[in-house]
Amino acid sequence: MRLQIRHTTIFHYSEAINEAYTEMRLRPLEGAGQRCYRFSLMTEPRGEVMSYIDRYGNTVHHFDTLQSHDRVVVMAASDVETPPTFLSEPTPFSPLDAYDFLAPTDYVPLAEEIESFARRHAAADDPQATAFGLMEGLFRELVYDPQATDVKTRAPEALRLKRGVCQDFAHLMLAGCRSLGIPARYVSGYLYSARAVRPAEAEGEKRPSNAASHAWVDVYLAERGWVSLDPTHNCEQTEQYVRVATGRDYADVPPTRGIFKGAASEELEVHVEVKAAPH
Amino acid sequence: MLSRVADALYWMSRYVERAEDITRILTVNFHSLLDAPVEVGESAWQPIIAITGDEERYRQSYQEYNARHVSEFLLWNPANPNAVTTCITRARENARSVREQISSEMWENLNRLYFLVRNLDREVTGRGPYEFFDQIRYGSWAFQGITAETMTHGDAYEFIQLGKLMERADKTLRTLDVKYSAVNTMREGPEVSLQLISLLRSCSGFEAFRKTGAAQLQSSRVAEFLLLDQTFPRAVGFCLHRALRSINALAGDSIRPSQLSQHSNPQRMIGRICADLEYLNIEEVLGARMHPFLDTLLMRINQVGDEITRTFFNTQVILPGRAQQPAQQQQQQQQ
Amino acid sequence: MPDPSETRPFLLEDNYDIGEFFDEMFTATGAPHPHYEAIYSRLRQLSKESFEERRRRASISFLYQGVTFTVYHENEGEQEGIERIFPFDLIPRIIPRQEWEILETGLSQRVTALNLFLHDIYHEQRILREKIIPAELVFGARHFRREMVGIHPPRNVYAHIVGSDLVRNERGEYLVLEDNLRSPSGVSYMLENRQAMKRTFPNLFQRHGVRSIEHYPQELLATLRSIAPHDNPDPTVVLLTPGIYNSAYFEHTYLARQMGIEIVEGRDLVVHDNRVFTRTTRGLKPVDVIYRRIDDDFIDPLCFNHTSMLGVSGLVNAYRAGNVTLANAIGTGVADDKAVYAFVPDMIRFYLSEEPILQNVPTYLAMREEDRAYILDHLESLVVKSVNESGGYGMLVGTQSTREERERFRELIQTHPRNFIAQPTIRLSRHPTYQEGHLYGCHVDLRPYILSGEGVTIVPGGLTRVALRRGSLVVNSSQGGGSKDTWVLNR
Repeated sequence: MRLQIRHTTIFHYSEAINEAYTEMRLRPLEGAGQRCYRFSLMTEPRGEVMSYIDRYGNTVHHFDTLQSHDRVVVMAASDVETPPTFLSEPTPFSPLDAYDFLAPTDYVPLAEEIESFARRHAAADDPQATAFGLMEGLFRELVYDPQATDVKTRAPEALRLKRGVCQDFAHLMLAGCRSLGIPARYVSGYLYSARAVRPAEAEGEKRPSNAASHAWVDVYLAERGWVSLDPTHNCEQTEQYVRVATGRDYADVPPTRGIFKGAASEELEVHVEVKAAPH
Repeated sequence: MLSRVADALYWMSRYVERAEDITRILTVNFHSLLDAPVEVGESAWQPIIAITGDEERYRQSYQEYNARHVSEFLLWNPANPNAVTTCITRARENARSVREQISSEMWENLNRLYFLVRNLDREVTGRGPYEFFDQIRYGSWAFQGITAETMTHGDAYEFIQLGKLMERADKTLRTLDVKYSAVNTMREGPEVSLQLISLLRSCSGFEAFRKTGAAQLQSSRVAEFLLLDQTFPRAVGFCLHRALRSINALAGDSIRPSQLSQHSNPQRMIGRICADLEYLNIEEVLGARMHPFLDTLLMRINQVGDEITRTFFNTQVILPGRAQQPAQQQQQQQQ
Repeated sequence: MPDPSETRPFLLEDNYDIGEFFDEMFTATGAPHPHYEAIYSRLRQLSKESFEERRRRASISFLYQGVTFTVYHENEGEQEGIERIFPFDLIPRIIPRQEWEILETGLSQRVTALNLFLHDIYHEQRILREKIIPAELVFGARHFRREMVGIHPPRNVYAHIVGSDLVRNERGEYLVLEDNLRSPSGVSYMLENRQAMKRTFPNLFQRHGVRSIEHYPQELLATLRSIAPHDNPDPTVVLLTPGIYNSAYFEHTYLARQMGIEIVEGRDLVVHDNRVFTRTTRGLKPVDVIYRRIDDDFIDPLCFNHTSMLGVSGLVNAYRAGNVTLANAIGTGVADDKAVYAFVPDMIRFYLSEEPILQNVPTYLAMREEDRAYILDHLESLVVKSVNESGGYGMLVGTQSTREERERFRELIQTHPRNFIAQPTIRLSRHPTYQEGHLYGCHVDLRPYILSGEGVTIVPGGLTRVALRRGSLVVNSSQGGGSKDTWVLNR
């Protein structure tokens, strides 16, 4: 499906700040069947925007705003083509990838409760069935609740509460897979819906829109390669998903990261608009 | 020179000068007010606070104006960022951060002053403050002398001079403003002379003024002396001319190669003020015209202080402009 | 010549006890090694009084020079610094030429391999693919920085300044105790010790033919200049310090002054459009090379610890873009790790196809099952170290431990095996050192400083550290250590 995405982020500061440095992960990925035909990023105040590619292949845009200001606006526009399903790449793992997609992290630590949860849904000697079983298990046992957790909630806590948002669903899926020796990585991006959905849960998204920031998971199955699974909706990735970044967990792919000098508090306002274009 | 280092040297010097000036104003007025009739008490102490520009802050801590409250406020009240003990402490903090730039003698001197104010017994001092006043003033003069004799007269030295001169110009102006207004409302009589003497002594200028050959103690002559004289070290004219010299030494050819004009902002601004003062006829600003004139002058000098900060200490980054206060507050170091 | 009218005792008495250790000055028979003969006969002529006098003069000169390190503590809500002189012993440690040549070649080989290792793990990871080193050891190391994956530092050098600590066992064999790749310090003492010795024993130098070390700052500066981005022939180099409260601040200012470069703190630098500048009174001045004495964690609040007030936001991005070079590079700490240390001989074989010239101290890794069993069985005779700490604090010296301490470590090892290694207690060599009026044998080690830029340069000798507490093995300044001048001879 052909999608045009306009993602606007407004940083509001309670008082003027200066020497601000901002990093953003907004550029949709190229690969696995997804094509990004066009991407532009502009800022207010105007300034040079630089970018680099991090070790997971994500494009990180960054810029500095040194003079005094109390507002920064970032406007990203992209033109993407999504495949009907996730087309796995046959690239072999580097030793670092092999380690990263199995090792525990801060958000996804080793934990008894997670291991027993995972074993309940495991299908012996069948990683594919295990992965799908885990996905369905999470979908059925966890309640989607934007109020229960926050951006810092770690997987064991979400499991204890049995509630969370897509970030928590994804972290738990990672936890389950990794504890059973199945390599898995975190995916962040957008989920498009033809009709307006409830206000997205990502920080700052207040108005209903037809696209929400979303998180799901890639799982590596020996025979099939990478498979992309969404435990929040209990389905494989479809053409409605736009992939923006991957990593070990949320900490590797924050949509924005920044630092500034000043005593102000920061508030984020985010608008995501998506238009489905005819092919 | 690193901006941070220049900033620390400038403010180390400004804070020492500020401590000295406030102490001197207190000393002089203590003496004169002890002679004053009792009823005058309140209205006699209030002008001292007015000189510092901290009236609002004072009123947050105290209801009345009297010897004890005013001294407490000006000497060591933690709510007053311009208190003498706070000034010495901040001067020493700045010195410590740039210890490499100053001589060990300078550091030792400041350190000694710091321990003096830190270990002060306020009760004892409150009862007999003159020794304390002396220690502060002599400590400050020693600091200036040691600086002049033990530091190479390069950029670091110029920043120290600049800080001292800017602070001194500010204080002389404020003192003149408050005392001249007071004198202006008085009727002719010995009271006026006493006030003028107090004004001159507050600027250490009584004897120097006498030597100018002015026959009579007239407010116009005193104002002219403190404002325009270019040889007396505490006169505003002297301070600003010397400050211009320091800035010229520091600015070199230009601040930024991209600058089209030849002079940086602080140079232009101070140059203009010096020229205005040089060609000023004191008759134009006597009487009721003095206060608005001095007020504007003070504002312009504070603007120069801002420009110095902007130009030398804060390259590229422009800090948010401070809101204009109805009373010009004494400048503080950016944290 | 000794003054016959003097009835005072001489410095060198006949009751110096070599014990069961290798002694740097004396052979087993009690005669001095050939390279110590000259100093031995000079010391025999010295009375205790004249030796004391020289000692006093040296101490005063250190004090006046400000050769101190500062220990900060809180006193009434204020940081108060106690300046301590790093104790200096006048009797030099001497290394003959051939001995040094072997050390030099061995250290050069070692540091070359370490730099190849660092480049490899941040790029193709061949040594891990070949399973020479367990991948989880490297990737799970605290100081492995994913941000460095794919970055190409100038000349592919990561560790520009390395301090490798050498010890000698009872057979006099040199062993590498550990490599320090982050901010090895102590070089200022090395330089000042030499100055003190020259002032105190001027005649000795001429007769001995001691190789000079005074050129270290120039070598360091040349190394820093050689790694400038874009092959800039006239780069601006600065030294980045955490500030006056850092215990090594004296060394930072000392080196900056000796090299003639600016010393800056994080707040003096600003990054704009991926380029680094110093904030000066005459505008922003570009910076090309930063000799940084701030740890990775604190060096860039945008990239690493965001509460750090010491760092420069955006520095890593400028570094990644190749617009500034950092010495040492980000991410060298993975080779500092004591568990990775155990594999350095394997690195030498893998990257250079050579046998290591210098040996490691035998090391057991608690994360390996057989090693762990051995360690737990021999706690009373091993030295157990935590892989990530320096300064000698988190360590168990088996031979001097209590049962309680051993039990504590037993539990630690079993819960976090990855974090511990163990080594047999080395009977470190000893050197006559003057204490309380007599000469005693005190344990010593040696820290040479290896510079890597266009090539590898090692200034002869290094810092000899002495454990001043009788019987102590700990040579760190913060725990009762001292130092000696190190002489590498021309012959």
